[in-house]
Parts: sequence; structure tokens; C-alpha cells
Amino acid sequence: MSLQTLRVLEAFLEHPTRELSGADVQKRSDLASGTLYPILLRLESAGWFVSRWEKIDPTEAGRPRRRLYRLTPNGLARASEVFASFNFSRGARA
Amino acid sequence: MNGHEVVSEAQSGRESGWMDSLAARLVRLAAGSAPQFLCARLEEEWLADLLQRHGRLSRLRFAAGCWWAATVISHEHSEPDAPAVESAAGYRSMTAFVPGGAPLFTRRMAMVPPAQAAVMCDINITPLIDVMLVLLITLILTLPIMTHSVRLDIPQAPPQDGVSPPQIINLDIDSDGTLAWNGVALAGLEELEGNLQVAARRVPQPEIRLRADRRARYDDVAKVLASAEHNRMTRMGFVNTAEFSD
Repeated sequence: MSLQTLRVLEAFLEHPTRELSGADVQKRSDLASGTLYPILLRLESAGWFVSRWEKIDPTEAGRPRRRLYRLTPNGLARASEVFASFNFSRGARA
Repeated sequence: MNGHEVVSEAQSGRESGWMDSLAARLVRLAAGSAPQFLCARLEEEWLADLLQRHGRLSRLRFAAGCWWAATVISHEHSEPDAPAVESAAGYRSMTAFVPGGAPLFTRRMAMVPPAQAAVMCDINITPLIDVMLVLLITLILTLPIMTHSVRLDIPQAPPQDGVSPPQIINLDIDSDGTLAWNGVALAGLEELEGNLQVAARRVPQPEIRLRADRRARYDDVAKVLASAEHNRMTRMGFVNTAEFSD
């Protein structure tokens, strides 16, 4: 597993139940979009994430819908295992 | 009104510069190059995220990244499946293929779970490249040693073309002016003159090594030197000059 993937998982593990858009993950992981979106799609196709469209009316909100990603229970367990195997302390990174 | 129209309206308000317009167009083009079933989703998602970015350069960089993301996603979704087929004999065979651009994406493919991973049957050239690099570095390191040379100025030997080395004549001048030719006392300067004439005609001309006693008179030595010069003796040297140093 690459370091970039670990950073994406770390962004989700801060609040495992929270739904994050790609822009939110990018702010937390500081990854370039060219790296981030393939990772999101890959983890989604692997069953670690699920995604849905934001439930807003774009006309009323005045902005387009965002795609929101969330860790699945399986993804949460697998991500926790990965971090445990690396003995990685989350939040240690500045 | 769908998300795309909202994006267009929102951007019409924000796209005050050509860079924003270029970024949005790049995102649309990038999403269009993604696999067909992901085009609409990625376009809407990326345009929404594009609006979350602050700064035109940041948006342009985001759009450029979307290009790369679309390339990677297209590559990953273009991998053909290679289903295993069980033959009548009970052997399982699998269709082999070489994915295009595999070296570029090999590391990323490692994320795909084994059940969905495509089969790669190409040769793993990584150890070959490692060996080649080791050989190359070894060659680079040893080449200067192999070509290294020590420059020595060795004295050149005189040509040995049948010519014998010159004969050495020891000419001694004693303290009382007595002359000795190779240890044989001479009667006087006349006999010395005769010997010098004979020696001057010999080829090669002999070398005279003059040894004067420290108590010998300068006049006697000067006469011997004048006689040698007069008879065209060209090889002449002084020996045992250390005793004159004090």
C-alpha cells in the first residue's frame, strides 16, 4: 500500500463516520488531484469506501452537488489493520 | 436544472479570468477521456471540487491533475480480464496478455484486490535492470584504474651500435709536478704531448680523467690542460676534487 493511500485513509480515520468530498480529502491529505481521485475510485471498487451524491438542490444551494465518500465497516476494519501493522500513529504527521 | 447547468452558472459568475475558464474546460475534457460509465460522474464531481479551490492557479493545477487522474483511471479500467479456463484434462489455463504501459502503473495496480487484479505475464525486468546498473557502475569505477599509468622519465641508454665505450686515461699530477699516464710516470711534457696526439686520433676519443695533487702547482696543471686543448682532446674531467674543498 502506497504512502498516498495511507494518507487518504488517515484523512477518513480522523472521523470514520464522516462523509468527505474529494476536495475535503485533498485538504486533509495534501495530495494532488491526479493522485487522489484514482485512489478514491480504487478504494471504492475494492469495497473500502462507498460514495453518494450530496442531497441538495443545486439551484437552491447555488453550487453543484459534491460526491461524498465514507468508509465502509469493512474498509474501516481493513484500514485499522493496515495502520496497526505499520504501527502508524495517526495525527503524528504535522 | 442539473448539476452541470449549475456548475456553468456558478462558473459564469466566478470565471472572471481566462484561467478559470481554461481550468473548467480542462476538467470537462479530462472527464470526457475517462471510461464512458464514469464520464458524467467524474465531470460533475470534479467541477464541484474545482469550485472548492481558492485561487486561479490552484484551480488550474487541480484541472491538470484531473487529466492525470483520468489517464490513470482509464488505464486501470482498460485492463482486460483473463478468466481461468479449466480444460477437460483438469488443467487450469489462463489467457496471457501484456498490458500497455504496465511499468508506469504497476505500483498503482498493487492496490487492486487479488480477486480483481489483472494477470501480468510480462517478464519482471527489475532485477535485470539492477544487475545492469551494478555492472555499469563497476565498469565506470574500474575504467580509470585500468587506464591509469605512471609516467616515468627513464634515462635513455646510449646507442649500442658496435661502438665501444671510450677508453679512460688516468692522468695524475704529483705534488712535485711529476706526470703519470695510467700510473706510468712520464718523462715530461714532451712525452705527454706525444701521448695526447696519439690519443686524440683514436676513435672514439679516450676520456682523460685528471687527478692533481692538492700540493701540485697551478702552473703544472695549467700546462697539462693547455697541452690537452692544444691536441684537441675533447673529453676531459677532474677527479678527486673533494680534497680541494677545504
